[in-house]
Amino acid sequence: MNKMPVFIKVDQYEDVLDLLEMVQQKIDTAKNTLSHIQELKLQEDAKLQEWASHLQEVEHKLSSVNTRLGEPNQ
Amino acid sequence: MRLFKRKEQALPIPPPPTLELDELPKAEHIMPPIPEIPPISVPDDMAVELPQEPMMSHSDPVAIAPSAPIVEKKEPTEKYVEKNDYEVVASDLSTMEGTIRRSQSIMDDLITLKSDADHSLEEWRATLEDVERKLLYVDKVLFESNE
Repeated sequence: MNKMPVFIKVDQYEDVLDLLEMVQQKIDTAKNTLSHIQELKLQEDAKLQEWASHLQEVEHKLSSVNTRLGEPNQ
Repeated sequence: MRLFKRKEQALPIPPPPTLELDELPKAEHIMPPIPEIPPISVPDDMAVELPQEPMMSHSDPVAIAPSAPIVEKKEPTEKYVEKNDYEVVASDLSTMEGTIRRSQSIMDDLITLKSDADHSLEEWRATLEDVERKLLYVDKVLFESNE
């Protein structure tokens, strides 16, 4: 027995298509925002790396000062 | 010492003088007469002619084309979709809804992380200021005491 195709009626079909297009536009906007946030995150990571480098430098200097103040005659 | 003063008695007001209208002084005897103002003569080189009032320009009215309606009325459209396609679309929409809900949860987590990062940055700033003050003090103790 041949299967007969069954169709379902969709009311306001054009409105649904318009809404789907609008959702696509929103997704494009969200993708742009996400890209911008990722760029900011990269800049933030670079700044954090710079901060870590500064901390390391200060720590090294502090150790040197401690050594020289603790053992002034050597 | 008396706590309360005795009220002073008010003096009786004398009655006003009775004057007849003929006895009142006339105003012309009080005020000097007003002098006449001499006519002002303007020299010819200072005479200024007022400009003419500008005429309003007249133009023919321009017909404006009717604008398109902001909201287009659409006729209700309907279409028939095959049952299998309809089920796939419904399933996809359900999946999209769940994904969007999880994305909202991720957004909440990001906001929390951002708040924590702001708090840590504020702590870092306070620590830096504290370290700077201490270094200045050490610098003062080490170098200014020897001068």
